[in-house]
Amino acid sequence: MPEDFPDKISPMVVKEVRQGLRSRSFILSFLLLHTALVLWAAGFLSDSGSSKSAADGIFWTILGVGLAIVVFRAQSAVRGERDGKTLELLQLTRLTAWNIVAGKWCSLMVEALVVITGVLPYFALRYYFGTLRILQDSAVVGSLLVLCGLIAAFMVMLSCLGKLIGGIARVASYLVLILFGIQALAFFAMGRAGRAGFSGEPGQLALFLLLALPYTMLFLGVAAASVAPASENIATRQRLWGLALFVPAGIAAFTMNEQTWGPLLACALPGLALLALECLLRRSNTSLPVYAEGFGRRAWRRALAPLFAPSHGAGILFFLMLWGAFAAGILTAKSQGADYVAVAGYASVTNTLLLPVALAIVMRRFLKIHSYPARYWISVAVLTLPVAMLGTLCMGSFADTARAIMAFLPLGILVTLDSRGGDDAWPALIAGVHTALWALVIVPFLVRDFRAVRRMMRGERVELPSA
Amino acid sequence: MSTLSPVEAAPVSDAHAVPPPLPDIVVSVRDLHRHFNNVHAVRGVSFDIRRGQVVGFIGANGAGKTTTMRILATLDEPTAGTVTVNGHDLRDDPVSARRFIGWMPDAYGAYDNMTVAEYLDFQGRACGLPRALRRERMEEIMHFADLLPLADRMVNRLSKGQGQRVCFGRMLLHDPEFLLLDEPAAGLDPKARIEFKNLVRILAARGKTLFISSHILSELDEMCDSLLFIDSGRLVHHGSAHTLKHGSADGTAVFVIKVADTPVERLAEWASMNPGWSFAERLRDGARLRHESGAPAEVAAGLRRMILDGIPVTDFHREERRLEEAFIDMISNKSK
Repeated sequence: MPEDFPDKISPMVVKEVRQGLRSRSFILSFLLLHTALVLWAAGFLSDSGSSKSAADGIFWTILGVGLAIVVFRAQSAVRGERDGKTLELLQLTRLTAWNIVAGKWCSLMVEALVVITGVLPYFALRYYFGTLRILQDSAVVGSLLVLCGLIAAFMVMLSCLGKLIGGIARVASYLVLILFGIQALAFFAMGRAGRAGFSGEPGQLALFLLLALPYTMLFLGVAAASVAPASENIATRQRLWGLALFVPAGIAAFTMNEQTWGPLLACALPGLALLALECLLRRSNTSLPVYAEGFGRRAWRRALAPLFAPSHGAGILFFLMLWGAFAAGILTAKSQGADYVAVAGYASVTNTLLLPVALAIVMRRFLKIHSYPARYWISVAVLTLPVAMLGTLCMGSFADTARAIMAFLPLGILVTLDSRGGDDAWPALIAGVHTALWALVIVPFLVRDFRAVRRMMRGERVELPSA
Repeated sequence: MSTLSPVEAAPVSDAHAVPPPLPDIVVSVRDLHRHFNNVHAVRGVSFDIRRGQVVGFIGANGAGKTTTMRILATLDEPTAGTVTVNGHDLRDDPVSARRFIGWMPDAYGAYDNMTVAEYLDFQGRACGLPRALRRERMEEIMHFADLLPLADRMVNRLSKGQGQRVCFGRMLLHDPEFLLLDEPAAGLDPKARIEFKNLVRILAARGKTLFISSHILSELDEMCDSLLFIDSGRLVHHGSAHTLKHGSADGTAVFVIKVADTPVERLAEWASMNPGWSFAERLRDGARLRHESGAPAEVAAGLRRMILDGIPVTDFHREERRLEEAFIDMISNKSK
């Protein structure tokens, strides 16, 4: 290996790998893993009459637990930097927020790889026992690595959140992970993994691998956004990611039938979530050079640049455009029956998205609020969704007039239609008017914001309006 | 040595009255405000720091000291006002400004499982220093901050003083012009404090501009060319330690005069007959006299007259206040 090899990779990865591999918890878990595997091998060799599948199950369980210990260390990845007051020092260097979180994640993956590499001799032992199936076992190991990556990214994200939100999210996620973990352990312990791949169905395995990537990116993107200082442009990167995740799903949505759009939505959602978080939660960036970034002389770049600039207006427009395109794709499939359900449903969901944005804009104008923190959007969601759900529950028994009123509520129409299953035109009309009203509130804001961004790109100092 | 900035003559209360920054000014702060919800942490602070100056930043807990320091370090954004470092506006272009800024927080960030050499190497790489330059800078800094014996020690196992030296070295890696040090001597033993003061002196001699906050005012007195006092988010003084120590709360100067074989009453009589002088306090072998302005020419003329009037003066010196007293005087004056 050349002497300057570490210079060719991110300093954050080098630092984290150095620290990680020397850490007491990693060394201890590595030793415990091998002790367990040695006992496993010794037990298996001494008792030739034992069930091969049971031994196989124990082997996978030990490996799974070993990897889980490595991955769960990520829960203090960024929190440790924050508590140790080293995060600020990193923010003053040339490292971006993405460099920081990706460095943490990469080091965990390196540790996971070290664990798996260290286990390879035991695979040779399994060959000797006659339980090794190269293809299936490779699939299981690959799936375990991808799962490790996904959980590590999730843990890194949790470690970036604030104390209250992070604490609640951590407890909730531990419960979920423990439940899934028990299932997975039972699955491995029964020895099914070695025989039938990760889940028994090659299609499901492929789908899991396909979806793991966008969700890993979503978690790391959220982590980077919460670490990034106000002056760092994370908007352009997140919009490009959003686009990258969304475009394949959006295109596929036009060709898929009604039954298979679920996985597509699952693939597109991380992209949309990244965009929504970026354009609704972050303060407008005030750093002028950020707006000049990638702003070339070519006409197409000049035209597209404002859409990728870190401002709320551009973010909201970008989000709505992608959402619209995706919904159009789904509608193409869904509305082949030429009913109004899909149209009204789509409009209803759009209203749900537009309502807090419009409220924020109106309130900002009267209360001179500069930006809206996460708690605003959480409050809106908490207040809005129960009303919509209440509407859902009451729909079946209410009179037509009541239903018409409820249809004005976000998501109300969707539910009305589902409960009626009808083909009336009125919900779609109401939804259309409803959307148009929200749009009327939002459009002037978007225009003003776009003008401000263009002025920033010309090097003028402008106070950007916030959502 | 002390070069006072144009705004130090009077505490800045009106931003519009402040003259434009001069070309050799490294840091320029104008009408800086910072709100945290309903708390107004910094209120209209304005000052300039010239190249090569060592400026002490003094304030009680919660006075707005750390907030101002964090804004200067680009770790926080002002609610209003402008801050430029080497001509780069910290709000408009913090990334460019960071090249010129070195930040040393009150608590040095120690990493687990990392040696001092690896720590410095990582920080150098994070600052984007190419390999050859990084090696050169690391060697230079390890010599300068006496870190060579610690190179292979784990960062998290160093003493407070050693850790501060590592932090000091880290701050200097990218060769910044403007160094911000937040409570750098807090928790250090006397030996480490002397070492730290020496490092500051060397850096100042090399033309670096230093901005140091501390609660230990006597230390700032020894190191700094000028001092900034902040109270309740407002700047209450910007001037040299010399000016502060030789002044008094009411603007007068106090002189200690010792005489031989003469009743102290003669000094009181003399003071009552000479305009500008007044008797302050009787001492065992002399008295404290107060002069209304403390202007050197008038004081010299007064001493000459005293000797001509036949008073056998054996000692005559201006009484210095401790900085702590000056600080308390200033705060109590502002609150009146």
